[in-house]
Amino acid sequence: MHDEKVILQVNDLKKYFSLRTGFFSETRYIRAVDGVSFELYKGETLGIIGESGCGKSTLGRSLVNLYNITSGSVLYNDGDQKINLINANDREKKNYTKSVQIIFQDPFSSLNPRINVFETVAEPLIIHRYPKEEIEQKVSEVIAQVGLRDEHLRRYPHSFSGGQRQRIGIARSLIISPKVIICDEAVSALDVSVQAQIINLLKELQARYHYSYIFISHDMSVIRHICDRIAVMYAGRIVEFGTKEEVLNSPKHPYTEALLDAVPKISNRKSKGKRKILSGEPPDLSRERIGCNMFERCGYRIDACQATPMKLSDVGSHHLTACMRTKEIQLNGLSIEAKQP
Amino acid sequence: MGSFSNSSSVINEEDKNFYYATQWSLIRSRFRQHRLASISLIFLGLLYLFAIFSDFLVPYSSTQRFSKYNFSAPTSIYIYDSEAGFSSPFVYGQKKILDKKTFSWKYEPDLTKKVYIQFFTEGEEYSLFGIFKSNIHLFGIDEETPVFLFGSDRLGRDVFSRTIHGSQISLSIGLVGVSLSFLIGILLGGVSGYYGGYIDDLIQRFIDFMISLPTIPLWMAFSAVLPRDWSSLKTYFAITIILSIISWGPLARVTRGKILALREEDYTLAARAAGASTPRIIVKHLLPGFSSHLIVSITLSIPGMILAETALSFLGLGIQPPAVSWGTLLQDSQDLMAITNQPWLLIPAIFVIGTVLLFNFVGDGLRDAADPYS
Amino acid sequence: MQRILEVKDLSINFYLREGVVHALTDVNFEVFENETLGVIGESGSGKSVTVQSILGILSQPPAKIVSGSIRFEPESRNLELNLLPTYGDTYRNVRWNDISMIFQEPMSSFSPLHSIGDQISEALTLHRPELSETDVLSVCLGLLEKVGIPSPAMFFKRYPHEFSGGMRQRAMIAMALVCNPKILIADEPTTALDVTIEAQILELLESIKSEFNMSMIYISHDLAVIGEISDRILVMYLGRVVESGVADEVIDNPLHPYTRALLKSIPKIDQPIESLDPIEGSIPSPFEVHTGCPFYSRCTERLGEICLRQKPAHKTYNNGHKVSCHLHA
Ligand SMILES: Nc1ncnc2c1ncn2[C@@H]1O[C@H](COP(=O)(O)OP(=O)(O)OP(=O)(O)O)[C@@H](O)[C@H]1O
Ligand SMILES: Nc1ncnc2c1ncn2[C@@H]1O[C@H](COP(=O)(O)OP(=O)(O)OP(=O)(O)O)[C@@H](O)[C@H]1O
Ligand code: SF4
Ligand code: SF4
Ligand SMILES: [Mg+2]
Ligand SMILES: [Mg+2]
Repeated sequence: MHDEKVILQVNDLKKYFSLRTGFFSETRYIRAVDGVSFELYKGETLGIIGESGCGKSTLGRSLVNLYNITSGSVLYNDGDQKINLINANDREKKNYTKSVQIIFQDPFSSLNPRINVFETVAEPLIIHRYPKEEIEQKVSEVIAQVGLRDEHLRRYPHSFSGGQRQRIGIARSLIISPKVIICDEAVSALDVSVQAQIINLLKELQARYHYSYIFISHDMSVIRHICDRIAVMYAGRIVEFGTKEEVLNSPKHPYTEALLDAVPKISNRKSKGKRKILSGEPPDLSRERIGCNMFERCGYRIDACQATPMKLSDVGSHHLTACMRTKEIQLNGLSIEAKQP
Repeated sequence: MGSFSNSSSVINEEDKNFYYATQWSLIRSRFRQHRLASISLIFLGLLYLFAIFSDFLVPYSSTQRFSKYNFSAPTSIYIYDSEAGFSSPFVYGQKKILDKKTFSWKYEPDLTKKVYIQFFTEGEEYSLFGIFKSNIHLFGIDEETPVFLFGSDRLGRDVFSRTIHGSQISLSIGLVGVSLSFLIGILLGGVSGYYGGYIDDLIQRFIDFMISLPTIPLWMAFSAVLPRDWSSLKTYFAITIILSIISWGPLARVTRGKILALREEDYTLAARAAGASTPRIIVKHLLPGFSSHLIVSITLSIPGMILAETALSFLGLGIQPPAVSWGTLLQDSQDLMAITNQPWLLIPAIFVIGTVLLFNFVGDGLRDAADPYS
Repeated sequence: MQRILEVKDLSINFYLREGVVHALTDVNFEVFENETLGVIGESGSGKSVTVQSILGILSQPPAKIVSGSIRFEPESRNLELNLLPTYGDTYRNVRWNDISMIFQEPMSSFSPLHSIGDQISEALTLHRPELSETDVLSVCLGLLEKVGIPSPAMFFKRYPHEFSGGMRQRAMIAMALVCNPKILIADEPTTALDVTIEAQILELLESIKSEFNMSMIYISHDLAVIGEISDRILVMYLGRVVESGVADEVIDNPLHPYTRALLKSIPKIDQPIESLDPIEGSIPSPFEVHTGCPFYSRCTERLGEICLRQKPAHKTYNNGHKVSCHLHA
């Protein structure tokens, strides 16, 4: 599937937002991403799943340098060049930008309605001062790759459907030949009948150009379909990490179990109302805590969970979990075999 | 038909126009559907044209006095005469007679004296735009029998000529004033919105303060300290500045709000993720995004400026004679006597009201058309 | 089973400046007592318009009911809802007492100015004026408890913005239940919520439904949710019901090419991973007029001329499975 070369190495990444409610009130911090570490292999698809507000987008945006990281490090290494995003100079930042791109969720707000398709797609090249002929040729190539035609180039975004707009957004991300692409809910806002088109397109492009994807989603079915490895995020932290098969079939964290259980299943008709349901709501990110961040909602908690600092530990075959009780409890995963297509 | 593809290869002309429509052409076509606004825009255009070419359009300068003819009612123009039948437009001379009952002077047409109106006639010399010297006027009449389309005032000056001359100041002060407050507003609002944080807080509180000030007393205070001996041009600019200092607040608000929203739009983020510089983002993604909204706000704040100038001048605090604006013209109709006996002195007020309404209609139309992507 | 609602040949158009939108075309369905009818369809398929017309909350104009009828309790009371004045007393009573509704965005269904408790008790006093103040309070607290709001007495005086999305949706459900309605309509009540919260709400609706002996119309564009919650399923495409039937039938033995394509195009968590078969093209513009089958431009099983030119008729199989497609003539 993918070779074992690490292309992106993220260490203890933190992004705090300061929150001021008034002129004289004191500043509070939203710990949107609170110490995330992982490595992304060349050519793989890493899924990041978690509920709304758990910091997925913040993580993704930090990785493309849209936010100033609070602390931690991001190392990019594609064999030819090594860039440390934190202390990169301007030229390195530019190269990093060319190598790591992002696809946004909302096909409507991600395209500037006042700029036609050609300019939208060409923008990254214009920014990086490519010669004019090269721009034209590349735009024409990439627009074909995403399944649109040259005649679409002079049109404005308002004349496209959601799926087509998403294709345009994808073309814009692909045009400077990045190596890593962060898909932030890239299919969530699309009509169900169009989602599959875009999922397939992303997969085809990966097969052809060996992109590494970080695929952010809240939809477990989509994640399961497209990813090789999965990171489960909860309240700003990764709580479980491993290959798709490991995480889905034998989850090692109660949150993952609850997520899997909560996903609506088309064949659940006969077993209505027999689910274990995670009660309560996600925690307040501005509160500092020592112990397990899922304590309030966890059915397996004991007092020690609240006092023991959270930390990811390996339970074998690179399967990491943040639950300290993982050895003592029995968790259920999906019972269906996840065989590859 | 058998093949499985989107049948979009045949594009008809109408679709094409829609597909390739830019922001401005979409706005234009939406604006055109707004009947009242489109008509208002035409009338506004005409008003401004009149103002620009006022020297040519009117027969007299704003200061020319016909001392024999004070408080003359609007002159009637005839094209028919029982003796000569139809002819080119003419007026009758006027004779002044004493009303025996009220003991006041009245003018009556002197049917014996018939004077034809001349077109493109020579008259007082003026210079168009300060460059082209000319003495040709659209219409005129010989010196002895003046034509007063809107009557004459206390000193026998033609109200029509003065109204059209006055529109130069009244109409331009709105534009100039708004451009000034637009500059201040866009700058402070832009900084406030783009940088956020403490700067934003500071500017916003300052705007709050400016908006909370009572405007009329403040204007009066400001204008009262203007030296009386300044030239009318100086006074004009001083007044403009006073007006705009106070009215930039709301514009800055609009700018800030829009920038805040657009800064978080995914397409702005996408540009940043692609490495775009701040100036590029501002010029390419932010400015076009709110320019249409700014135009709306500007259009809607011009009438306020015009009214403010009129009010100040009406109170004698604004434009000083001999310069004329609609406000100074209305000074003449300050007392009840004038309104009952010389109602034509109120004609400039009709212009003020009309202009304000026209601007508001246009603004409404623009507001509906401004966001073609909603 | 008794029918409690019958919608027959309902067509609704929107007359807009840009043209006419045929939002619904000959929509037929019924709701039985104590069942959950799941309505699935993509954006613009007319799901919301359907339920808005049942509740009489369509904005008319621009909407206009062109033809058809909506009957409530056709066997007993036989109220013809489409003929009632929408602001009249009868309809008003139907709206809370007999049919009530929960929306996708619960924030906009509460007024930000009053506490949640006040709004729920107001809804109750409006329809049951005979209740004393203490009775109202105890009924409301009971309801809030039933929908799973912890310590209802404490939450009673809170304002909508102090509630999380899930809590607000629970409060909305409590408000919809004040009059013991016979039908509860849920228009994408969980689309804005997280999966774990969605599961909580689905569970809640399920238990409430049997406790209150209601029927439910559940609308969603998520086939998995519909599959999970429904007894019967209605599949809509571009303002038409293309297929309907018992849930097992529709999911396991889909008859309409659109349903089949939809099932093949979505990733399913509970089945082996297969490559997805997307539906090509995109949903046509709502202004487009279709002389034949509305799915024609995207259908892989189309028959040619007949599908393009002729509207497919409704075909009903013995087990109540209905489909509207030329393949099933
Ligand atoms: N610019 C910002 N300023 C302050 N707080 C922010 C900002 N962006 C995000 N947050 C907060 O950070 C937390 C994480 O947000 P984020 O958008 O990363 O979540 P997410 O996992 O992407 O959620 P979703 O699934 O809803 O997109 C949230 O509590 C959010 O309110
Ligand atoms: N108030 C309205 N004005 C104009 N057109 C409308 C209005 N409401 C609905 N429509 C049109 O009617 C059609 C059906 O809309 P409806 O809201 O019922 O779709 P839906 O199935 O609920 O979609 P969604 O999943 O997006 O909620 C659409 O084409 C829509 O454009
Ligand atoms: S550490 Fe304790 S509270 Fe946290 S998930 Fe594990 S069992 Fe639950
Ligand atoms: S009627 Fe024809 S085009 Fe329509 S769904 Fe059936 S086979 Fe396809
Ligand atoms: Mg997000
Ligand atoms: Mg809807």
